[in-house]
Amino acid sequence: MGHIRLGTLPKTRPWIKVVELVADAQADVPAIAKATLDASDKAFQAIQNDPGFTETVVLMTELAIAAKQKDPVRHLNQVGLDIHEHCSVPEIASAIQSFLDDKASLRRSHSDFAELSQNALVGAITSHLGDKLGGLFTPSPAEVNNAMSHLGRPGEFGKLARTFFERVSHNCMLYFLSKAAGAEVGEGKRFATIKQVKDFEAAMAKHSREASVIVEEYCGDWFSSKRWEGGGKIDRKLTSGFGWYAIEKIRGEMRARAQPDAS
Amino acid sequence: MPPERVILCGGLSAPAKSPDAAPIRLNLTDGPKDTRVNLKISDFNRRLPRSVPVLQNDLVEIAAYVYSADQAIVRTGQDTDTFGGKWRQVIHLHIPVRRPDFWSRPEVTKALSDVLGFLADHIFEFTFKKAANPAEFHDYLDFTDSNAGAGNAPIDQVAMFSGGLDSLAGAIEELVTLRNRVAFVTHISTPKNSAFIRQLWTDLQKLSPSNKAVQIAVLANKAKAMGKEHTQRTRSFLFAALGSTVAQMLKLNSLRFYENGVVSINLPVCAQVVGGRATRTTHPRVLAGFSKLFSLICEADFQVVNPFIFETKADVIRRIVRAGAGHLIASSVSCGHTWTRTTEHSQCGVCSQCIDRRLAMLSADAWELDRAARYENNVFINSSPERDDRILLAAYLNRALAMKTITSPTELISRYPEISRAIPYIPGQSQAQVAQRLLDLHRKHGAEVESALAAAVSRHAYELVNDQAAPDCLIRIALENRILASAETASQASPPAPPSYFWRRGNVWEIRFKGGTSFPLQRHDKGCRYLAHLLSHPGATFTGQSVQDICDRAGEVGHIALSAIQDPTETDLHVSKSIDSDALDAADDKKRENYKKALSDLDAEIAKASREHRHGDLAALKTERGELIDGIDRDFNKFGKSRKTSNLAKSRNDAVRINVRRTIDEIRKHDAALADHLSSKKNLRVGAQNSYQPPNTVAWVFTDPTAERVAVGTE
Repeated sequence: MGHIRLGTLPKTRPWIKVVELVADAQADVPAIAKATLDASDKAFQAIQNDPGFTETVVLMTELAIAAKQKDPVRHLNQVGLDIHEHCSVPEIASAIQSFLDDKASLRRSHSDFAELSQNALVGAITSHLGDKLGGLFTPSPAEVNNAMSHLGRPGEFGKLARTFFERVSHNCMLYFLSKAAGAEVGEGKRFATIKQVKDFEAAMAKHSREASVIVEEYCGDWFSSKRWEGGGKIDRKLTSGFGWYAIEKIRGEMRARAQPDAS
Repeated sequence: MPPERVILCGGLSAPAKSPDAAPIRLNLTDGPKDTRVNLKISDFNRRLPRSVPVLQNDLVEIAAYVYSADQAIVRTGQDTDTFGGKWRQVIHLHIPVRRPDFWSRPEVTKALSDVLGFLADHIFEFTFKKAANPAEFHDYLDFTDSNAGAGNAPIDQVAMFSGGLDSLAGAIEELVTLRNRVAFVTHISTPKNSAFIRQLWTDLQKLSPSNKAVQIAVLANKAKAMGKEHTQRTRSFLFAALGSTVAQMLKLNSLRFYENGVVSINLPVCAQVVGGRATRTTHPRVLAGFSKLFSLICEADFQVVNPFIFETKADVIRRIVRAGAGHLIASSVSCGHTWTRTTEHSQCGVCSQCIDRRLAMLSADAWELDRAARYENNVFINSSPERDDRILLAAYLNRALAMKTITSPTELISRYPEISRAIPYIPGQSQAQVAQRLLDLHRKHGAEVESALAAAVSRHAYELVNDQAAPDCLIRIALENRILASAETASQASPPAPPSYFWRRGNVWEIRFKGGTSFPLQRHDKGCRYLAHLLSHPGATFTGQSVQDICDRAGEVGHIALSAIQDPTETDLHVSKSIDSDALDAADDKKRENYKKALSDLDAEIAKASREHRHGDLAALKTERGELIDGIDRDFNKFGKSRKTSNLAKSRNDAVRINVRRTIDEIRKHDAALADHLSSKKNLRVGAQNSYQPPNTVAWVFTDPTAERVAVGTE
């Protein structure tokens, strides 16, 4: 019991380049990120319009729409999220997991990308609520409602969405890179120690975080304008396009940040 | 859509429209040899009641088919280019049962599909048909052992016994500590396991001679001709189905799995371990799913529980030692690589289970009780031969040590969102309390791994000093983590961010002033370029036209550093050059476009400010719009023709001024002090003459020293 199944990178030219860069101590994080983005184009093609990802982005948007309602909990109950007025942060996190798991069962499909997105949303929401509620693990209904109500502000939605898309992008990056980096540990290899692997992952996280800044304002504005245009609602199709555009924007920004120094 | 597989069990024929052209056929009692599923149940030391409820009989057969199907469907790790698109499959099982009316009930099918779907990370669908000639339960029974010794006293509890450390501790807990009369159910996936389990069993019985337990062993496997998926994700379903059946035969309504909480929850060790790639054999949600299903079957509350959910592996070992049963540890086997086992080496030493066990033995200070010679590979000082094992080792250590740094349940969920799938299924406490206890558990595990590393260094000091430890052995990759930590920190730590900077990375400007909070700007690239140029040339004066020329050149090449295009002799007033008529026409067109764009941007800003009720901003923006319209009127007549080409210089000055002012307005939203600094005419002049000359020098930095590449517009 406790088995763990690992995968391998394909032996195609783009992925071989990634493996070579990971093994090359001189290759920097943006260059590795760019090579990984290039190599993963095929994988991203395979999950275009992934329904699990769309479902996740729709739920994130509904959380923000709910925040604008008089009774956010009721709105989320109507959406299908099983939460109540006295929810703690873990209860909200598990309700989101459960909601998205149920949707996946109904769809009869669930990709790794959907799974990464789902966990990214749970992580982003938990982080957001944790920041707002501090150490309160059994907050009062007013405190939870207050924390949730922040999401209705375009600026706060922008922050949450940025965190979400940053996590999706970073998780995807490590999803691929962890199939190569762990094998490069030991003296004489790129990473002499596991701490250096951790540092590499932290540098990649920083790279994703910095690149994701490009979507924060866009997400806030998008939410504000589409909600206004939709009379308080946002059409599902619009949300799907929004999610993919944000992901592509971050991927583009990560690529831009890897351009060689022209000076 | 995921691949679809059809499994035809017990001789059932394929449906008319089958999504799978090559369905897998499985047969429990007869049928061709290459379709056979072997199921034999042995009650080693006491005969159980012969009568088995019909639904339990069905359950055991369903579990045997599911287990065999799951093993026969090989999952490839070569699915990177499809984002794991082949990992999850839709599995249609067609199974003959005695009570299709019961199994086809929506709540039963859903309970079955839900628990198996989560357990195996597949999508399970079932079609149940009436079995034409169902086997009797005793067809599966095998009484070749001497059925003596356990007596006929009533049984208090049914528990699972795999022969690993955790189940050994559970058995000792039941027999020695709690003095329960227990029936243990053991699953033997291969006859290779049988000998060590029997030996362990015999030794265990000697511990409690007055309290003989019942042991029921189940041998289940399938024809070798079928595929082989070694991780056996649905093994615990078969195990639990047999356990619940035994419990029902003994009129009991509960079942115990003993597994430490870290392995039971099995959080992903690295990012590629998505979903069920970390097995969920005793995951709290799985055990809750079993409880729900078994309760439906026996029409009463039936509980499947794991009493060790809040314990670490080292805790479990300490339990064994405290009970005076430390000598049994050497006979237990934890290894997940069953196919590598030999008589000499019963454990591979490199799989996650072996690594976990060895570190826990060190942490629990019980190292001497586990014979090192039984491990084929001493992972502490040797290389792991396989690539996957090396990845796993590094990932295992990093995850364990990372746990120590997590300080709150919120942070635990945020960093490991997967844990929120376990929290609601651990009964007895609020979710907040469970989250706190799981944090304590994982932090404890991290601390134990760290203490085990220290102990390992002490144990293997000779090899380390004499350079006999492999460069990528566990100790060296982890130990250097500690020894070199300070040196690495010194060499790799990022220099502190400068107190004042104004640089561009990618398409974003990042700004900080006098140690304040840094902030990004995305939408004022021109204004930022002009400002960066002026800030980087304190004391120099430029015309608006020269500022535009220099900065727009930088804009055209896109990513050239401002510092790279600056003219070091530009210290005097830069006057406009003579301009020929073509250039003026072109300049007019460009100016017209600039005005159009500036007006359009401004209108958008006004609309946004209006929507957001930012009345202060709205007034400023409207004033700015008036100025812009004035500028347009000055430069163009009502037919859109340029009034005077001599106005070109003025309009360019205006464009610089407007862009800089708008950028400063944007900066004000993030840092009022900087906006005040830039708004002061003593510091910054914009318009016909542009200069930055603060009375007190500000040490602006225009290149990010922590960036992987030079930062100011150089990426």
